[in-house]
Amino acid sequence: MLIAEIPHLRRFARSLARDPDAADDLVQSCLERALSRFHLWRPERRLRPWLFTMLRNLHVDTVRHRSTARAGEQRSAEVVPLTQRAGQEDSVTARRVLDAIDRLPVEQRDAVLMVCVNDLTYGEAAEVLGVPPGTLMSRLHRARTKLREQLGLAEDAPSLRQVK
Amino acid sequence: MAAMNENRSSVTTEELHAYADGRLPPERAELVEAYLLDHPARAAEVEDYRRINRALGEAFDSVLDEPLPAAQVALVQNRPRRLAAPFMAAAAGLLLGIGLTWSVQTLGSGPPTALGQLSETSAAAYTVFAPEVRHPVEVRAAEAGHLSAWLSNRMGMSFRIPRLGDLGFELVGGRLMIGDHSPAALLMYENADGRRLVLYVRNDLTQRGDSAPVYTRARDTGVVSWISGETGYGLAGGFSEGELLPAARLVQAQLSS
Repeated sequence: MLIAEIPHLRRFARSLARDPDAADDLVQSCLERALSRFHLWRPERRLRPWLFTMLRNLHVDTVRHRSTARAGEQRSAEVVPLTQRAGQEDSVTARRVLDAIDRLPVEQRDAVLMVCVNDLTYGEAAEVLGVPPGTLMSRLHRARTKLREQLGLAEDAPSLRQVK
Repeated sequence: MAAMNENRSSVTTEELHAYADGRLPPERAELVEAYLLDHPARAAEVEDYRRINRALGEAFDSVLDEPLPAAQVALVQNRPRRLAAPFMAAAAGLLLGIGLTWSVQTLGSGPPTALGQLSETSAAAYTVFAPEVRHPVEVRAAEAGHLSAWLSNRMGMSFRIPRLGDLGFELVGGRLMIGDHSPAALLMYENADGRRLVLYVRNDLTQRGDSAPVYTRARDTGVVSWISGETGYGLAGGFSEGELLPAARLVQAQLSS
């Protein structure tokens, strides 16, 4: 059972931490914590949201140790120069989407990663983030609206939408 | 018609997101589709949400197919027995749900042995799956790489697919199976005459051991089963001992090297 969740935990951790080694450290800590608290898990609950909540809390703890200013510096240093054409087909690459996501306010970033990278239901995603479902949805909407702007999709003239 | 228009205009922003994420029930999804035909700007938004989703899938979904780090597997598999109980209960529910409750018959007299169980499950798997024409396997041999990665991930081991071409058997493909309480695997092979054999592999034996290949016959199915460490193997098909044993040795040789 638990072993079947590991691939999903690893994908979730990778989306949060990005660095593969850091992500696997998170997964390892999460599994340790899950095993030590297993008596708290109720079998009628789905295992995945329970594990995801622990993993995310561990991630938040880790990030809190770094100063936000430093994180900002690292982030802007990672932004790849936009050598690609600004054409429609090139604008939604994984790299550009991730860069845009990293510039979102943290609540919106969480909402979009929780919904778009994982196959949790909206209700489960809200549970992992510890917010009501309506809050999750409004964060998701604001996040996606901003992402469309940042990716240059929002104000596209119709001609740019044509597939060349 | 009036009612339908009312429904169309009542499509909410939340529903557009749920539609983009494939999380709407089919009857609502149809309404949203109709609404989007009349509202190209909203349709463009939804398409953008989906492109963003696809880009994120591209960024992270390959993680699902990576082999699991040994440290994580070891941690989970070495968990103390008392912690395993809720998992077992849940797995038992799963078993009932799928309806695959094979009776464990003892071979000869005495309590059921690990080898006896292996032999029985392998024979049952052969009986159930070998006659299948359209769906003999879940993943076809053409995707052998994916099959191997998938089974490795689910079983938490490095799962290599043995080749039996020397004996005239080519891989048909494989499927996920059930051991006692965790995923197991079934591979299917076929020769030029269309005769099939299956290899059942499970790695959740409760007692480690090593046991040389033993031939048994259950109904019309011959089985050679053996155990290596925590992993048990059963090779089953409508074949004699003289035909199955060389195949078993070939599998053993490839998996131990």
